[in-house]
Amino acid sequence: MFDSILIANRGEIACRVIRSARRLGLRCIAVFHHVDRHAQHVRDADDAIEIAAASPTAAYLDSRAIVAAAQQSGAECIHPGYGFLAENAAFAALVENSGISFVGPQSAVIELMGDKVRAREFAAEAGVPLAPSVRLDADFDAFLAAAGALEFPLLIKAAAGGGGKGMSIVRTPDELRAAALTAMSEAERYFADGRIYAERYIERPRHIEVQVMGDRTGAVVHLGERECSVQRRFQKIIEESPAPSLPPELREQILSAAVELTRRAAYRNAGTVEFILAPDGAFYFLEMNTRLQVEHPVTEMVYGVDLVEAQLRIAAGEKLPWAQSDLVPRGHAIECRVCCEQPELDFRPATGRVGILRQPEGEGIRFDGALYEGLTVSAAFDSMVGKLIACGADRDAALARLRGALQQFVLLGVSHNLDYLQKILAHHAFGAGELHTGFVEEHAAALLGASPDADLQHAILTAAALSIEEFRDLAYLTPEPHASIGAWRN
Amino acid sequence: MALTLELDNEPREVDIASRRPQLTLEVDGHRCRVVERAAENGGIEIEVNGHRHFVYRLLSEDRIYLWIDGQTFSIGYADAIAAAKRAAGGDNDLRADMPGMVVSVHCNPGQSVESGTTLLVIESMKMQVNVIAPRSATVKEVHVVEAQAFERGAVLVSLEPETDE
Amino acid sequence: MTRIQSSLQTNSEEFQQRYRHNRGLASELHARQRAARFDRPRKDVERLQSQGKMMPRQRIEKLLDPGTPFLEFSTLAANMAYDGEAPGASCITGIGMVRGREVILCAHDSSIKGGAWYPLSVKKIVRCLDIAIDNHLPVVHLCDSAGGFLPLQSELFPDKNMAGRMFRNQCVLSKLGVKQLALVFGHCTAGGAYIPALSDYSVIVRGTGAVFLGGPPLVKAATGEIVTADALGGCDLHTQTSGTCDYPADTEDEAIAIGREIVGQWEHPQKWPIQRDAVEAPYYDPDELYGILPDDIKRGFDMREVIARLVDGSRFHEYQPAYGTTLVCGFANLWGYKLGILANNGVLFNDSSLKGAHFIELCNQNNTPLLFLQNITGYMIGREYEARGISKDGAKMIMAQVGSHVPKFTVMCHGSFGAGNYGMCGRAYDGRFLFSWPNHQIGVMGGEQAARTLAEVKLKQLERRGDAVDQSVLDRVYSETLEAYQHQLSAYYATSELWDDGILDPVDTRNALGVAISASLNAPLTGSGYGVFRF
Repeated sequence: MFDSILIANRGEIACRVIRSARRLGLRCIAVFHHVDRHAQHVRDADDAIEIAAASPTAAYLDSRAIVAAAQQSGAECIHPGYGFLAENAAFAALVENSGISFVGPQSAVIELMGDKVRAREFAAEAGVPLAPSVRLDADFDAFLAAAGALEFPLLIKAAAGGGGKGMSIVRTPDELRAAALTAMSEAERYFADGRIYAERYIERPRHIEVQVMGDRTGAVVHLGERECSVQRRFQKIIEESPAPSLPPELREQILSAAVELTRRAAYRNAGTVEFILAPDGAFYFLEMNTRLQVEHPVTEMVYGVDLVEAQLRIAAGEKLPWAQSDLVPRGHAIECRVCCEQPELDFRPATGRVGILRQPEGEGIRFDGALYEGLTVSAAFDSMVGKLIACGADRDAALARLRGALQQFVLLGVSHNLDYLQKILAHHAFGAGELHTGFVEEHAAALLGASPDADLQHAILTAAALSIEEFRDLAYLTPEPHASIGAWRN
Repeated sequence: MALTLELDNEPREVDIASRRPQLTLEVDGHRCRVVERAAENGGIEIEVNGHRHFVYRLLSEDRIYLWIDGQTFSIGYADAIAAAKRAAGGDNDLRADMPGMVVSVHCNPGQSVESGTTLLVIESMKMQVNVIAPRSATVKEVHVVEAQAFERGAVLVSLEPETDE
Repeated sequence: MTRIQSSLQTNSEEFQQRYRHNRGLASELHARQRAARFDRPRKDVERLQSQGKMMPRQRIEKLLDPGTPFLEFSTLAANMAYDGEAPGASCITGIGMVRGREVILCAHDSSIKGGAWYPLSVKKIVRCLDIAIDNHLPVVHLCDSAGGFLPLQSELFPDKNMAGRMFRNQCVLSKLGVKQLALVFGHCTAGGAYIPALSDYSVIVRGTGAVFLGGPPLVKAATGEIVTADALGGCDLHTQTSGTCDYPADTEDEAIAIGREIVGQWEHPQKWPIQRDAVEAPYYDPDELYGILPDDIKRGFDMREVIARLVDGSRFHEYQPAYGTTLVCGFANLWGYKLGILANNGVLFNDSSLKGAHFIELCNQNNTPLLFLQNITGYMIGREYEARGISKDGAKMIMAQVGSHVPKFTVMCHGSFGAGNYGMCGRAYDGRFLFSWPNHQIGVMGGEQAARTLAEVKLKQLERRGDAVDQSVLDRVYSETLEAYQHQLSAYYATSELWDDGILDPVDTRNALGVAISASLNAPLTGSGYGVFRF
């Protein structure tokens, strides 16, 4: 096992990795940009190294500086978290070439799966079902023709994209040309790679993904599937494991396909194979994410494992800690992503200072976050500030526990989506497991929420008024006998 | 003077009706009997007309963040003087408080400016002064041009009236 | 303390008849007050509206803390003067609470003749500033006046306690360290300019507020200069150039908000620590006061029954209960404050005078404020009493009362005639507050007595001249005297002339005294010092 680790990330995932690493006795080194100097992950680490950069995100994207920091601190491995450089093949290679272990898959595999077109070809060879798609080569018009021949609606995606970015839906043929041109220029701008491809867009699909892990011996296991259908603009909001009401044979097919793909790639460390499940039961490969995912906690709670620990062991050269037969799922777990945003203003990111924080706790409740009272939430980074996860003997129990935990969660000082999450979880369709990626759009009106009733409004205004010192003084400090005589006139 | 709060972009009035035997507020004309008790964990139990609620609250410059029974609300408030100014529409005209001359103009009608932006530079009594935007606003009209002389009290720039967001 | 045992028969014919009578008087009082406060010619209301001004009472209500009392003085000042043209004497004064601090409010009522000062307006304002001085109460001036009412200038300008006294009082307040805030809503002309100038803080409303020693017409007449009120003495001139006013405000609402914030900066007063116990409502219903007071000024009643319906728990510790029984003396609590009460149950004799003097000394020794409940026709006269020294004994009571350092409060519950008024702390005796009831009458003697006396004088005159005694002449003297007296004896006449600080509905007395006593604690106690007692 390593004796030290540098976490090339920030926020809740950095804190979460530090937690497991520390438990294994590793010295933890954090990196940070100046705006993050008071961040929780910096406080949690044993050492922290500041990286100067033109912008806050640039600091966490600076491969050279991060590797230099690892060398300077003597870190034996680097964990990239998710996002930032986690799926940057060049970074993985740089790390390994610098004599530091990269906690993740091989650089070549990252590169393979990072190219969505190549990844699809690889999946096809592995016998994984694919949605019919058309790739843009040199001939733009040929692409348009072939794409036009697919069944509409279509989804246009960037080959070098991922995580839901750079995607758009084209509903009618006349929209195709303009959408394709836009997608190409966006892909160029965001991913420095203008290649796009078009696929048939499945209506009301479910997003099902499989957690996989491989080791240096080529052994591969899966840790079940997750359902991540409740999304907004391709960003996941709620994830759970197992996927509700999945017929056992279908589940087996999906899991096998994921495992087969992973084995073929000689995949090492943790990864996730993502699929689209159509209402008719057909499933199609979406992409493979060569990193630990945001929603990994639901798998951890259902299987009773620590995935980060497993990652570290594999990176250190150990074999998989479990055989497939060791991995027996128990119960159900649901996660919701807590974001600092304003749902009523189209989910615009919000900033502010955390004034009051009461994180829920209790049996079967887990909160992975990096918040503390006094922290300033900045606009420089993603709006997600933590994940709230609950598990239970079955889905109803997990859901009830999660709803209860959300009810207890207090975060004041910056706008958040906690009330919005409560509405999703309270919706009868969610309770019934009627999930698909258009869930929030379909139920948008109900999720927007009604205004509080008159009694609640009075309580709100009363409580608010009494928090103003001048009003409080008027209410409570009026001397006697005036307070008792009241509004008397002679 | 009643306290004016903003909930859901609507102004709401809260006043004190009586204090004995129980504090009774008037919220938009409705009587609300109130009892506050400290509760565990830094929260407050507030009973309004017999209904009990568990509350946390945080006062920020112009907002009150309120958590009540699992829901979060943000209530706007302004101190009485600011509220009176806002109700009157405020002064949207920026006037010269001394006679002088315009050195340079740095804004156009229709332009959005942040609070503190320099709109004009004027010279008066051998001193150059920046005329700055007192609040974030849209410039409605610029009444002077470079090298123009003006009297004391002359309107230099007019802003669009402040609107509630 | 033991509770007073009431022997009032609420079912009796006498009670019922008195109750109806006094309820009627109270209704009349409320009706007249409402008219004086709110009835205004439409054109005056519209004029204020067109000027963008609030009604003066609206300003007061916005300035005061919500849900707190406002004790208004002399609402019916000038009700029998100037043909009723100046209700309330064109100003509103009283004690209210602003940001938790007791203040005197003095507002010009610009809905009456532009707020011009009549002679009684000046007297009312001087009186409220005297109250401020006596009780060390901060003052908020709500200025909006056209200045002195010129047709009556000789009655409001030259003398000692006329207009100049207002500004002299402001200086004395300042010298005492008592704060003053002026809110300039309208004009402060001529002497009125001194109000903000002599105040510690002043706020002025742009466009309508103006301060000038001479207004535009006067300036034009004097120098030919033509200038608008705003240019001559408006907000911007005084807040930017002259420094006469401190805070500019765009609207009256803003001015009031600023005013409240200013008062919120003032330190909380140190009040002297009067003995205070837990408050108890009177055991007997104050409503029964209506049934106690006779409808005839010559008839008496038991003051203990009145006391029982004013004080906490109706509890009363009577002093010398067996001696000097025509003066009831004792301790009671009112709104928790310990008070020494002197109340008339008949004329004052030697013993009651001595008892009164001694009890007053005891209250001063104990730092207990004094409450005088008057129903007095005078001292006992006659040779026997003179021989026993009634003049000396009455004098001793007055000497003790005047030498008191504790605050004194007076309520005229029924009659106040002759020298009895003096010993019982009438107007001339520097009580902190003096209120009357609607049934109250005041004069050197009762109307019938005066009429009989003057008829007697006329008879003697005719006899001396040797003229024939024409009964009709005597009758006319009698009836004319009676009529004149009735006019000038009534509580409404007295309050019109500002011989009191206002008529109270008897059931409001408890609250009024509560506010008054609390206000009086703002002035530190000094020591007693009596003159010579002629023994």
